[in-house]
Amino acid sequence: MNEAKSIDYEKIANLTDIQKDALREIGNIGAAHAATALSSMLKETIMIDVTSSHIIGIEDMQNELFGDPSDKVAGVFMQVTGSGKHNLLMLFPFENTLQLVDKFFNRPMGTSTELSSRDESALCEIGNVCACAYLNSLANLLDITLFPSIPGLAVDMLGAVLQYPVLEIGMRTDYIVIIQTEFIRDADRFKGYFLFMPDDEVKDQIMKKFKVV
Amino acid sequence: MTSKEIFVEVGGHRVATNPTVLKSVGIGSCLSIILYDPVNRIGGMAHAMLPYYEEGRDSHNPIKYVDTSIYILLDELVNKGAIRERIIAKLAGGAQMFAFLGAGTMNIGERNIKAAKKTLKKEKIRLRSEDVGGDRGRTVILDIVTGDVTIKTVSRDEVMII
Repeated sequence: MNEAKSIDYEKIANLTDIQKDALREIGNIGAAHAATALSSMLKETIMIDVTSSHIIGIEDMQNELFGDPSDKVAGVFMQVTGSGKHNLLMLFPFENTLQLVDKFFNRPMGTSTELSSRDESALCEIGNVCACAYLNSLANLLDITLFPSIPGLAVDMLGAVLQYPVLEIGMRTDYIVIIQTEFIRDADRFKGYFLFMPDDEVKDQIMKKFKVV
Repeated sequence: MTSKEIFVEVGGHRVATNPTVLKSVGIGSCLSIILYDPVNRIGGMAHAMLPYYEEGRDSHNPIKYVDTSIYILLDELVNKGAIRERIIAKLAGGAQMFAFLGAGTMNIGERNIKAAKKTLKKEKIRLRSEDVGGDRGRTVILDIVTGDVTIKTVSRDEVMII
């Protein structure tokens, strides 16, 4: 740890526990819609599990969230515009990414060991559909407009995949709000994450909606 | 002799003397800045995130920025006994992880590389070698014994030494 990491960004961001609950609730709503979209694409049930909201310094991005920065993951990243400017990242451990594309293309589980370019396109499309479901539910609820950019895919070390989405917001603020939802399919311990990183504009809308300003 | 391995975290920096290995894992658009005195075998590594202190001014952690990382590493190396004129620099990282982010979007990796080169030039520090840009994440390892910087990626088993 370096000494700079003891800063309490939650205090700087000035969020109460109730406000953090509101952020988690938003994550639950968005991710539930995304999980439904994913379930219908894969023709089986994907459940959302735990949602947590984090307010962290951008230098803490690798510490608290998901473990080892050298883990190989696939990340589908979309910039979100309309009301404000936000980032949305869907992350899967690499093993689960292979299961996901096998399932998507109706191949027996375990067929893939690497991703073909067709698999990569499919992942982007899955990301896009889930992001639209996530963002539409938020936009309706908060009465704002949110559009995702075209999706970008990176298959690499977790640390490296996280950096761009976090730094892009870090250019504008010192701390970042990350709403993280885990989704699972129990049978194969399939796991993935949604990370929504709203900017202050949407954060304020959320607080107004839940009347926790 | 086995060297002690020290991890350099995002937004952090470490300076070490012989024999030590400094390591940063999973560098994407961030930049690993390495300064090294090959005679006294004193080296430092910073894992900087954004180009210029001036643009963010987060005084809680100036290592977050490329330019201030270079100043701080340089001063700490000299304090530990490195001779300023002998210090060389190596750079690794600054990737653009998501290929679709083409023209018009901010390429943070590229900006970090430029900021580092500009600051090194200003401080008259020689850039000995680099492995920067591209679209791959890197793990960067500095061996203080030799000054070699080993770079690993996930895509291939290849290991590169700069």
